[in-house]
Amino acid sequence: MEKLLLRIKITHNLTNDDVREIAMNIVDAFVEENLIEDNTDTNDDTEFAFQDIIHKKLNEIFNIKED
Amino acid sequence: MNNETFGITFQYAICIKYKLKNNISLDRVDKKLLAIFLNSKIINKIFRGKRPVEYLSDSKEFTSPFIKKCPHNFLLSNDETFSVRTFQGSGKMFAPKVVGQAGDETFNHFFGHLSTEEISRNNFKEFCLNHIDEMLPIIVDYALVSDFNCWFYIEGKTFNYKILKRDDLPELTFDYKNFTFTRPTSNEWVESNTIKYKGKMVLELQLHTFKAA
Repeated sequence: MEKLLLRIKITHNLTNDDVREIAMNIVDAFVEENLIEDNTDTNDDTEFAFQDIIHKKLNEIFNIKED
Repeated sequence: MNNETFGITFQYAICIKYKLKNNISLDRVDKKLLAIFLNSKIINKIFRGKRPVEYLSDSKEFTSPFIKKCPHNFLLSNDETFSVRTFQGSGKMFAPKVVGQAGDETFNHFFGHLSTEEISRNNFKEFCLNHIDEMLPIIVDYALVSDFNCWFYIEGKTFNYKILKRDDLPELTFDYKNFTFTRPTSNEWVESNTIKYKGKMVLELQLHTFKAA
């Protein structure tokens, strides 16, 4: 697993912004499927909460530090 | 426990403490945490010298066609507004109310005066890259939208808070040359861009490809 992850990181040279974009896309897919409410034009932070959890987890997996 | 439950339980505890009418569903409240809040002196400390008289989160007050939900949580006895933002730790980022998750129309309403043309997803990135120094004061303005803005968080097992008074906010100007972007061109910027001021991260800008926002 570690070797695989290292290879992914080396191959794609992922940055913190890249990982955030992956998290955004996953959350957008949840919104598309109505699993998470669309927070556009609201004060509700639920989408960001999901995004942050996914982002943090992926950063841990890929050993990427937030800026 | 998630931040939503933490936040709504704290707001509910304030409503109970000051006997404020509210429509908060008990399903959203953590009973154990509620008891901890009510038995602690934290609410008294936060509202020392201020008394909340109305719960505003559910109300239509302070709203407009572009501010659909009231951006304040409580009205104080002297007619000033008070908001609580909860965090599960210190140093966390958040979306400012009103402008923080703006759709196309809302974004143009609050930032359109900075551009000669309508801002769309086609020119959004160029607009942000060129006008970040003018955008940031507006964003900060909405990050501290209430007269009193309380940031409430847990550190270890201790509740902590900071209260930022809107009146104490200085006139903010930012020098464009001090901004740096992790994605400095619209070609490099796919969906997410991190903005630093004098080397310190201050903002994340996100353009969702698959959403109308």
